Amino acid sequence: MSYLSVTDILVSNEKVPCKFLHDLPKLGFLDPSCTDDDLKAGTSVEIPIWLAESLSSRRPPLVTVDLPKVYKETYREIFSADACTVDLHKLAQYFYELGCYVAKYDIKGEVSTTLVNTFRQRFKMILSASVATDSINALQPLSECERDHTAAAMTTEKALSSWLKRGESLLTTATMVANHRKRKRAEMEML
Amino acid sequence: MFGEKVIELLKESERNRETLSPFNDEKIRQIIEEMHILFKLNMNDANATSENKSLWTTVQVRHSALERNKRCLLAYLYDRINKIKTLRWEFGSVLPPDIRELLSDSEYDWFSKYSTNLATFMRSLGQDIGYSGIDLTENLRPPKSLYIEVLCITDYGKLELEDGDVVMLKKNSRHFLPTSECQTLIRQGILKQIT
Amino acid sequence: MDTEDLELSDEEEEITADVVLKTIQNLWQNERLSPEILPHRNDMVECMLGQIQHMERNINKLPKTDLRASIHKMELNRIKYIICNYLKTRLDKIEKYCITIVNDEKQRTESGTNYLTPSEFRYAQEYLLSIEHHLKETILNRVPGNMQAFEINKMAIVPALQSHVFLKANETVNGIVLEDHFGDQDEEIDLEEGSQHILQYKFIADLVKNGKVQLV
Repeated sequence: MSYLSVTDILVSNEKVPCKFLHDLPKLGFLDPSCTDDDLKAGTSVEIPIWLAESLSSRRPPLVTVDLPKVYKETYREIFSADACTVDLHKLAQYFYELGCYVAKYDIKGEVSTTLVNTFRQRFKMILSASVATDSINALQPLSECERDHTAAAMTTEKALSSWLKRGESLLTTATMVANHRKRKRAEMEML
Repeated sequence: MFGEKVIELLKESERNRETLSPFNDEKIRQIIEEMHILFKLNMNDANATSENKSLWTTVQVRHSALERNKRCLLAYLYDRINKIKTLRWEFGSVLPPDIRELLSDSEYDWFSKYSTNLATFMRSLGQDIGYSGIDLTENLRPPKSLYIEVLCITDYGKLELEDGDVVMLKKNSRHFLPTSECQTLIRQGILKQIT
Repeated sequence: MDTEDLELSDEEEEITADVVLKTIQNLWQNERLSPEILPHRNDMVECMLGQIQHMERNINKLPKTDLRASIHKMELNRIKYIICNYLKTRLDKIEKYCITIVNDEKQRTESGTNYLTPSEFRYAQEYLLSIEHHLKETILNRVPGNMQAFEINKMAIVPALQSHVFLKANETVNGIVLEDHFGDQDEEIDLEEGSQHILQYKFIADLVKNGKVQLV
């Protein structure tokens, strides 16, 4: 997990349910329903996983981490029944990445199996989305990293088919230059 | 204070993966200020831990928040640096003024250093055999044909070709030119290839 | 392409330009497909550049409209592209894995097994310095005292050596151990000359570097 990776930072911002094992004076604001200045031991709060990891790795641990509901029984059954019906973007856009984080708090070791099986099932969704003519609808229910894979597949697919056509591949304006021009034009139109 | 503001910065970067947004100096200043507040709170509470042992855990939590803020700020800068690098390869070593505006002064300094470092490296290629270096930014696409037909999108002026001929690139003029000599201008959006 | 004979300085071995080009193409392919930076082959690059110079001189002697000139120019552009892309691929890796590469290279310099050319090494160090300076100036020097450290080891990006690659065996290689990190089932396999496989890069990294295996 890379220190400077923006994706990793956004993933570690996702919240997980935790129980505080100690009093934490002056940190009552971590619990939005708490009216006290202080956080009492025994409170359950949802905090970002970066904070949860930091607190649970202290000796003695300051919190216990529980699995988010997406990785628990009810949803696990849904995923094993038919993972393709789930709109991962709405439900858990960082499903796989967060899953890797919470897997270490899963004593039964079922999270990792769920992750692999879910991806296996949804793999065909990625493949069909990469060649779909209606890509917006095809992409919609995919999680962030599924979308990344689809985008990569789309690029390769386009490159391959234009190479197969053996036509003249046109040299094009560089991406950033083109985007810069589009923005300029939009700004001019607004004036 | 616990990373919410700095996440907004990163979400802004993530939303615009292919473009550079203006350097958000103001937000960075606010986040650094928040870090100083956290630090001061910790200094005070650290001194008071002899009376209240549980304050020590609070200090540790705030320390985590400080590290989180630091990490996010560095990631923001690093992400921008990667985009700024692309600017050198796509726009060349001279940036149009409205792109220049998007960079902070320090970022522009970095861009100049990067440009110089790259130029030094390219010049060194083959110098042991008397080669005058290769411009790596020129040969970014596999060559398909020797000559291509291009349309000039904006007025550019005179272009001197390798064999000495001079071509006048006026807006809307069409030309049949050697591929190798058009690549950069096409990338910069001055010429457009037509089939 | 006309066959030209080039001489190597130490051994009076003659390498044809065709061989150099084929070698460079293989090096280029390996460099593009491997997750880490590979040992440099500056000798080959310079050889090729010398060849390019030679070809350019010959082409300029021909009249502009000579068909041979066009064909040679096309070939020249192709070769230039391959060299440039090879070098750029290396630069991209140097920039991405900057901290890791600079550290590793410092160690390799001591044993004389450099992966980078002197120019590349200078580039890498300059690049790292400029980033350090920028981060310090914009952020690190302005944050509270205990946060100001430039934690170089935390920020290092490490190449994913466990990624899978397609490869072809150039010669028969026996006894490659595929370690199993999650269990005890280490496997040992043999590669027949000419056979193709998908394996994790880390198990065959050395074979790529000594030419026994080609990434495809």
